[in-house]
Amino acid sequence: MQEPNYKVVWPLGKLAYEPMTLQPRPASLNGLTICELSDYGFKAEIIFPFLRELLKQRYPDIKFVEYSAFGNTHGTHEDEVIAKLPEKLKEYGCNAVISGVGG
Amino acid sequence: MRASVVAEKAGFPSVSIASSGFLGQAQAVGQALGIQNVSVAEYPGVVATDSDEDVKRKVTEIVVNNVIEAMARQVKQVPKPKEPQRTDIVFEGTLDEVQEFFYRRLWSDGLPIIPPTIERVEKFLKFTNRPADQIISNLLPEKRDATVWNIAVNGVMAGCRPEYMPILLAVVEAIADPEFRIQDAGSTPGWEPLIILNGPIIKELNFNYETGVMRVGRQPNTSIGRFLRLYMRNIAGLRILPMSSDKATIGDTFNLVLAENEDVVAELGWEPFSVSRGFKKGENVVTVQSVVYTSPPIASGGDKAREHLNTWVEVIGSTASHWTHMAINWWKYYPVIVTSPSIARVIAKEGLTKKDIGQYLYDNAKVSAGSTERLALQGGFTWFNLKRMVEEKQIPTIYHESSDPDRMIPVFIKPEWIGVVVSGDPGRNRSRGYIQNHEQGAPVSRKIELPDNWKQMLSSNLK
Repeated sequence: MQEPNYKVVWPLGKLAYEPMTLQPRPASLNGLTICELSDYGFKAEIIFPFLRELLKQRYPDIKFVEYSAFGNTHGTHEDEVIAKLPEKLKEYGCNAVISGVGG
Repeated sequence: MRASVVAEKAGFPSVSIASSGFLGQAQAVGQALGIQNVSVAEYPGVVATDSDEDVKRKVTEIVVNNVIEAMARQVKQVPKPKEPQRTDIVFEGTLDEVQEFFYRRLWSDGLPIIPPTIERVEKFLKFTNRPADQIISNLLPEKRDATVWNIAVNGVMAGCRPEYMPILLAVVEAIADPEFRIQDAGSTPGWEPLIILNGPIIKELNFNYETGVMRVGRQPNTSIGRFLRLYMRNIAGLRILPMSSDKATIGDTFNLVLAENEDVVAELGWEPFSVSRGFKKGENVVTVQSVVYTSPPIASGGDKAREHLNTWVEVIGSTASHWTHMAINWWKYYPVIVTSPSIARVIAKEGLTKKDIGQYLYDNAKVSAGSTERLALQGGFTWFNLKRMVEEKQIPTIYHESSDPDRMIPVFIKPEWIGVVVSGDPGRNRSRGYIQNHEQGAPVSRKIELPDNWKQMLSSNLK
């Protein structure tokens, strides 16, 4: 007896995202204001200050807005913090963002 | 990663720092939010197990260069892949060939599936008044459309019967609610969703709510539990491979549907679990919430309520205390106690209700502040400090009434957030705590919509 064949359909759904391109990248970090965003975890309190110093050594005119200015991006008030980000980044005159730490 | 994408969308070039094990997840999350090849600076290794000196060395020697390079890297937009349409036949073959085809494309969960033919899918669609192409929502992190059609397809694959379709729809509606935070279902603790079921549909579809309620063996409990995990893989994209978004460090298997014993609940004059969620008694309701781990199976004895309640304080309280730091951090915590009928009878006999149980556990289950802060620190929450959180008015003052690390603080956040479900063997005195994962998988309930002529359809389908 011949085994039956099954004609089957796709179990997934249409991808709902719209592709976007990254913002143009800066030619140098010198003279830029870098805004830090943090989930306040995974030794961010060590990594960010240390990174700040190392980047200042390479780019003497670089400026930083420390992550505490924005609040925890992965904590109790996460949704509120994220919703306010675009406005706050403009308010602080940011040119680029460093976010972390994913761990 | 989401903060970086929000910044990019607002016009700011961004770089995320992530440890090696999270590079794949970062790409998957970035893609779902519209960016292929997001800018990530790798931190090599595992941050939480590095000494402070190792962290400084790695930042100096590696991370700073990775940040500069990632900030300079321009990435071109990648178009969306071309994928099949809803009713396209994607494969034709024997049962074994279908299994292999689906398994190799990561469309199955490793167990055999029922081949989703159009005929089988259409049988499911008869059990809803909704059109097949209706979009319920899209599910992060992969951000695929959840539709009536693909709910039926995955229901077929998981071994459900067509008449389970109204429950499957309600379950997907629940996990699509932003309150549930499906985007966090791939977090490292590896939590699993739990479906709690109330209403006459429990008996109509022959759910188990007695002995071995959470053990595989009864078709509706088992196949609907399997469906949910399969659906999360296929539509939310929560797969466990490199470059995928499920980061469960160890993980657990899917939960079965927990149906409440509503006969006993009614006998005791208690509210069904669904009533505590805001629904009317007698309505068919699903509640979906996360379970990150469970307590031991507790045997408590005695004919006084306090004897059982104190055992719960001791065992469920201590089990749940290992997650108190997470609960405080996100200020959400919805554990569920599942108790067999005999214990519920002893407690109800003294006039106590489910609400009284929650209050007793809240008032009496305590954990030391020092232990809570230590667990937070070791879990990577390096900023977690109860004194500071109280000073900043993030949490109530009871969490820092002194600086003594041995001072005791509540295990739970709010008494009304402790759920009680009566289920399991009526002939035994056991219970178990299902510990929930704070804001991730917070409980969401949905009324089950039955199709027109439900009773008639059910009776003809069961013949």
